[in-house]
Amino acid sequence: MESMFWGAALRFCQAFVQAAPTILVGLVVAAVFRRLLGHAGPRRLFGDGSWRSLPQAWLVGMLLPVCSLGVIPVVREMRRAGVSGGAILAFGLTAPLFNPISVLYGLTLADPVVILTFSFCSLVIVTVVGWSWDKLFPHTSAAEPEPPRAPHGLKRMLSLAVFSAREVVSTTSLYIAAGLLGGAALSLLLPHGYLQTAAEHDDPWAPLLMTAVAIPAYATPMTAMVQLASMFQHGNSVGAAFALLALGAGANLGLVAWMIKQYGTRRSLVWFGLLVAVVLMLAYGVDGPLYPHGVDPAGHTHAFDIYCAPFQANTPDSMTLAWRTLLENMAPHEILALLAAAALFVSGLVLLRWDPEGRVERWLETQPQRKTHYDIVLPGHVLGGIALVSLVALSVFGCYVYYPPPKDIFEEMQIVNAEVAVAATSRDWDTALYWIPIYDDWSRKLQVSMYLRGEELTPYLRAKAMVLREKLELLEHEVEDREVEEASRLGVAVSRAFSRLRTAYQP
Amino acid sequence: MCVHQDCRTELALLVLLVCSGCNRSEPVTAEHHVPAHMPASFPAAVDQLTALHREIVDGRERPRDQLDPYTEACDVARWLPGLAADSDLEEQAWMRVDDVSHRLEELLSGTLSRTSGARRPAYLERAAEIERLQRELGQVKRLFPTDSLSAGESEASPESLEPPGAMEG
Repeated sequence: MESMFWGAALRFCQAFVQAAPTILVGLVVAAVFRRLLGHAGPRRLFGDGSWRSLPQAWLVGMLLPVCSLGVIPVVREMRRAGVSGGAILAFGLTAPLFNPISVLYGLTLADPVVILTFSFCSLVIVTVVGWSWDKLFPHTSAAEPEPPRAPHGLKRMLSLAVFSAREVVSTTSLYIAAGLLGGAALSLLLPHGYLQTAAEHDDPWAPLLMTAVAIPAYATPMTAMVQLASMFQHGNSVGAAFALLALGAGANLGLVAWMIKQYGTRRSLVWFGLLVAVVLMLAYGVDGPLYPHGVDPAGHTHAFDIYCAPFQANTPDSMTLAWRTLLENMAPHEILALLAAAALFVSGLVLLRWDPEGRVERWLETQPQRKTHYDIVLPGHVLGGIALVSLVALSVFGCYVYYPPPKDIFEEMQIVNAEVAVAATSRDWDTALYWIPIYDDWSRKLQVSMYLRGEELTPYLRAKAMVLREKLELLEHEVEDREVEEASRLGVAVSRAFSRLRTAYQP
Repeated sequence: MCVHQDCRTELALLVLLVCSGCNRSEPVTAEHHVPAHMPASFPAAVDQLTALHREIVDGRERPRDQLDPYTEACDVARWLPGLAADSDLEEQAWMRVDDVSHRLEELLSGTLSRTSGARRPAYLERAAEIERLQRELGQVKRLFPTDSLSAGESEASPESLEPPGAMEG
């Protein structure tokens, strides 16, 4: 029982840590909408009820780096601005599916056409369900009164921070918590490793089963893409992979709860039923045609381990283990995002306690008595546009940071290779299990880095990377089973595969 | 044990289980499935394909509980690029293996799509081209040092590699 509780707590916290950067981005986008663009801005950005509304919502969603939790403050602000229900739901559903970094990662799949097809399918989903919503339930937009604009300068910038701080201590956080609880609940239901055989290619139920798991689950776009890569490597069901992407990354319980609160239970259920039906139809449609050529089903996958209990029943000292696991896997950018979120949360609490009437906002909105003669005043919509374009540009820049040049990647891989090889031969199982996924990840980053920098990625080079990943996969199993001889042999085989990979990439 | 069927049942009762806090305690650890007929190395795969070819041409029959030789040959043909990549084979020779693999797989898939009685005649129709492709594979196999062949390792020594032109004929 104790291990179940701490396992669920770990899943909740892991998801929150992963989501923190994209939640912050969501808060920034919502603040830009409210304080810089005003109500007209978001309506214009999302097509203002015209035929362009749905494809525009899809495109904006594809470019902005938010997840299904980070999208919650954005959709709330879109609703306040009076954007149509169909466009809000289209954006809310597709923004979390992809971002530039995750799309690039998708290129390491056996066939890059897969990721293009999945992107197209997401456009089909938003078009069908967004259009249906607007037809079935017209006139659902309900704009709130627009707040007065803050004057230009420091006050305008400060108003963004004040809005974000208030948003963090509003019902937005409750919806986000609801989304995180979905993952924790799944870990209580599903024992450790329980879904390893849940998405076999020859199992016709796999897309349906994955749909059931994906609805309460939460995944960041990057997590979903890594899962997809793992599923393709293991020859799992493509339909299940699509369902996982569309509903695992695209929807969560928090978003559903917000929808029910805003639009009512009946409308939400009708819409959600339609969404699930479209996702399932597309999932079964792509299942056969997109199945990777030349991949032999491994008979299992680790892609869904994160939705199951992290610990086996009766694991001793699970609290310490959960804490250690959480700390070990935190990335530097996640720590920064957590600190920023904590600062906003504290500021929000202070505002809630000492200024519930919004005096700070009123002060921020007071216009200056004297007009300056030499300042060039940029209108809010220009600044808002620059902010949104900057977010997209930052996301593209992030791609180059996340996927460094091949030379740097090989230096990292050299270190990781030594860690894995030594750990495998010296029976240091925990170290090996820690480094193997990181090694796999670097091998994929290498491929994306070459794409990004215009270097040719020939089938030969792809095959070399595949061999390395296959060896790592086999090694992981032997390490999990504590097979001394096999782990040692595969440790050497991994090193040899790395050496060949390096020779092939840097002749 | 069919684990995913258990999963389906369990997930169908998702809400009930959340309410009851029920949890199954037995862990599931899936093994990585490596087919029994997967060769250990590229040279072994070439030998296996040759043996399968002889078996089919000679009309030897396998017991019903064994994998049929056409499926086995098709699988081995598909694995060739991966096995060749797990060696020191250079890019040009590997590309040759990749091309041969695709063509072989195409020919064998065409045979496999027939009913079991019609497979052998269909295979024999393609036998000349299959033999030619196997000769090409044999030429690539010769790039692997003989001591490693006997040890069953997938090692093509860089020193032994010849330019593609030298392998023709």
